[in-house]
Amino acid sequence: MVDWTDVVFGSAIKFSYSGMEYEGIFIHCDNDMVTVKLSNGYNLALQKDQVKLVKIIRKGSENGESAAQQKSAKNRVGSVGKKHVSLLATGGTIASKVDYKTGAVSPSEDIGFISDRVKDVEVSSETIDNILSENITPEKWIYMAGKIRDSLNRSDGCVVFHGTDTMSYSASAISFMFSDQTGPIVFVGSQRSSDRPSSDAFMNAEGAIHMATTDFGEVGIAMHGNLSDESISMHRAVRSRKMHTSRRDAFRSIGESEVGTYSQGSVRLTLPYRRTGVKNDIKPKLDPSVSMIYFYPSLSVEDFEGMIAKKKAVIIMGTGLGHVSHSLIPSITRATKEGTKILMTSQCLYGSVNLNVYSTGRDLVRAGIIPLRNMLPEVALVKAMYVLGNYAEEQFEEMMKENLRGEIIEREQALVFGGAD
Amino acid sequence: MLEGTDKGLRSRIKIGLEIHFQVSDGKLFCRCPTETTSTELFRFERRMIATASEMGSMDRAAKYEMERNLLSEYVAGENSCLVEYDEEPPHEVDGKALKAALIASLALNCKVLDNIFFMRKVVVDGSNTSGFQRTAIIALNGWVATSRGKVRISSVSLEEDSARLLENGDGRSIYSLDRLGIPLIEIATEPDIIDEHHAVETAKAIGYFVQASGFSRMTVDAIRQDVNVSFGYGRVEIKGVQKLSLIPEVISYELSRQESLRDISEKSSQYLDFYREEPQVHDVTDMFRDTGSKVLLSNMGVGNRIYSTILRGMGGLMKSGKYRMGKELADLVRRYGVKGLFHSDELPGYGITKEEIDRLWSKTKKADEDAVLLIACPPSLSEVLFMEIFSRMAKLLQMDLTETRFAADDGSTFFLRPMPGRERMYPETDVPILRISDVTIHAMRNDVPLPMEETISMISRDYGLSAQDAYVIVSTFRKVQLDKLSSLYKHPKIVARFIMQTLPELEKKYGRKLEQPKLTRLFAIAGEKNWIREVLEKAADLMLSGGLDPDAVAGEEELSQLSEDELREIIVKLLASSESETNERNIIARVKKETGRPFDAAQAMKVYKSVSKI
Repeated sequence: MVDWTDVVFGSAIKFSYSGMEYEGIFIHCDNDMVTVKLSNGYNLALQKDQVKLVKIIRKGSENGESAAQQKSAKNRVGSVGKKHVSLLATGGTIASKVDYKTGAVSPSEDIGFISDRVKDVEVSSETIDNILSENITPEKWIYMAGKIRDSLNRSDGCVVFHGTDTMSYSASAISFMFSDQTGPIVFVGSQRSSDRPSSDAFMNAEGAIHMATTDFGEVGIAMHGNLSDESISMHRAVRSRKMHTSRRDAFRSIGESEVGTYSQGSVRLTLPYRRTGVKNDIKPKLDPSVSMIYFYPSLSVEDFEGMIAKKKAVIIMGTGLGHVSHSLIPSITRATKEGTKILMTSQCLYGSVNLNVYSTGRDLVRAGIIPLRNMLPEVALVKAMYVLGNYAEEQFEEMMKENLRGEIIEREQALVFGGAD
Repeated sequence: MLEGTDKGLRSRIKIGLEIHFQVSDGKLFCRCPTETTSTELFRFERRMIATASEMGSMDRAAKYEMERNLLSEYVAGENSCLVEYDEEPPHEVDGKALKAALIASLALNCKVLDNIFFMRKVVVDGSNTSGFQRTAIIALNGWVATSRGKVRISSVSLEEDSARLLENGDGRSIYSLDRLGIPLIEIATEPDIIDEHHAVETAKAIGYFVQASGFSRMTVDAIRQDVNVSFGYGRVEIKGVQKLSLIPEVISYELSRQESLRDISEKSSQYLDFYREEPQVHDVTDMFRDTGSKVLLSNMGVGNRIYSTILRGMGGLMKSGKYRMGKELADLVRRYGVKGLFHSDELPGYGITKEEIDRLWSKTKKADEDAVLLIACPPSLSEVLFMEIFSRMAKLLQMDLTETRFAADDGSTFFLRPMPGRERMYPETDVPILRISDVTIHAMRNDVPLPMEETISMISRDYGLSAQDAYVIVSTFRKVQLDKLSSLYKHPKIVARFIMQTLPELEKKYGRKLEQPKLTRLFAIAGEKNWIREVLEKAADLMLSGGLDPDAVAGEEELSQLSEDELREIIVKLLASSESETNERNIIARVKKETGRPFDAAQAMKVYKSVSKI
């Protein structure tokens, strides 16, 4: 008597259901459900007590992966004249595949299949992590920075495959850690997993790889520029933000236009940028003792104090020009006196904080708060980790206010926000 | 009966149907409406990439589509949102669509599955923005009664409709998103159907249940059927059969096509090995530099090259008498956007001269029994194209005729793509498995339509229609329409006559269709104003001839019914001018001639009788 526990994934089986016998491929079985694939391709999830296994026609292979899937990313050997770009996979949707046993999308080890379509650039790939990006940590950024340095030392540019959720945080962290770099560092992700024919992974990767052959000596994020598969936009990491949960063109440059675009095989860089340098210089330290507080009406003093306790620096996302309720000001005064660095950014994302316009702002200045102009809150967070990790405490405020990687826009132009045309 | 010349092939016929019904009330995975205006909001473009399935291999239909690597352009209108643009995961399955599918399943005596598991059916021709169609089996293993026995139902599925093709050509397909995502109930039968007439009867019997449940959309392309037919040489799936009346023609066309292919196969069987290995292909562009052929010249003008190859044993089989191997290949290359294909059975011709072909024959070493193929295409395409040509030839000559074809409006069919395999499907991970409880099913039992005969006698009884009229209403899926319009305008006999006879005649006369919302409004007005039949018919005439809205028409002078006094005036005048020629039989026609306005015929007769007595 054959039993479901005897069947392995991919086995051809005969089973009976509702008085009929069917042939199919066994996919999965759990406590109360059996999943089988019919010959027409449909999966059926049948209640285990209603379906009977008649026989196993042919035993399947345990892992269910074919030669095509197992094909590892072969490093193409360099040929004369072609640029060489190294790819680092960290996980995320772009490197994800469907797990057919559980039905879930999970990160894959193999990213070669995505870059196979790029023929005019030599690529080599390495998997350095395998996570969904919400699980990223400062320790992983430090590890990532080292891996990027190593790959830039042996190639013309580096593309980092990364989940989109925290890609701006990671790319900004890498941006601060590299004070000089020999090639572009381009982060790339996708909003549609690569198992789908409509996936943006392939074109995003193609754009990112081409961006990585230029003399862009900064860290960028390359993603779809609009809903069409026609152009890829590159955003300066420290001015980028994921602004949509699901669209291909979720990433936007905030307060400036995109740095460049890729379309039909060629890259155009339209904003001024730092050129590639002669060495890969990193400061691989981050101090994670920083918190971020989104101010909201009714935020209590008790909660606020809980969130700043034991932190070396706190980024506040204030309202409008950079305000919080008057009730919090005594706590801020006390904390700054004790040496906690409290910095102000705005929930508006667009525009600068300015603490000189309203009395609340002036009171906050007196309380010891440091305004960060138009720096994005998430960028301020990783920058604070970087500055705390690598500079003396006396330098903190000066370094935070200095425009290190383009994180501060010196002259904000009208058209970027729209409404002026 | 089919005029098959060959009893053997005819006797092996097996027919199955797949019938698709659009559900009318909103899309399947978002809350966009089914109907829309023609307003265009914006366009976007995508390129599809075929990827391996869960079984690790790439489906041949998907691979075939990808090799064509077409650019798809999408026109977004008002009934689409981020879900149709593939910019947002699907929302929950629409409850009304699911209910419709469950009721259809119960009506067709199927076993409803406990768990509804949506799959992604990979389609990379661009007709779905995601590159796949979401589809789930709702129920299995049912039957429908016909006059020639039960036809088993394999499955009832619920899926999303594809985008509507607007234009195709030059490596680009343009689709409208208005249809994308409309729920489709797909009902597939086992190959139990005996012949083409039985196929029509079966389609009507199935259609009845879906339509009677009241969820079916009532527009021109709302019901589509695919015909699966086999004569022993593999299953041919014929998509897009728009009308039931086309089914016999489509089957007859396929029978003679397969007979012809079998003869070709027998005649050329000794050469089969030739097609299994790929024959040599020559670039013969230079031989045609000075040609007079417009097709070849325009191809060379855009940088295409001209290739030729020999087809052993195919002389006279490409196109002569009933042999049409040429069309089989032309259908294939057209799918790659290639327009310049010639073969030796039609040369010299099309501006290609005797001298040119003599040189070509000697270059390709053509023997009498051979054919030569001449193709103009982009150099980048030539390798894939000839590979496809030789593999299609080998497949056809081995009488493996399994493939997906498409039905043209005249009942002929053409090659669409290889038959998809199970590799084409993988799980839709964004839609959770839906549990269907026994309670849900039980509650729906009450909504299952009555059998067709009972509905016919019910209509006949409730509306006072003849049994014949009631049958026509039911079998042409108009019961829901009759119910709805009769509730607005309480003269069901007039409604029945209007939708069965008057409206089709007027639509034919003016070459345009009266849209459903306008029709509904017309009957609402007719009900409010208590119009007589003649006024209603006149209003419909005015709407169709002038393309007007019902409310605009309702106010027209021409529509006001003749009063008794006005009728009397006309009749008196008629009698005065030609009393001897006017009688009871022609009076109505004569009054009609005198006026463009509607009148009550019975009233006119009464007036005539009273006037003529004087």
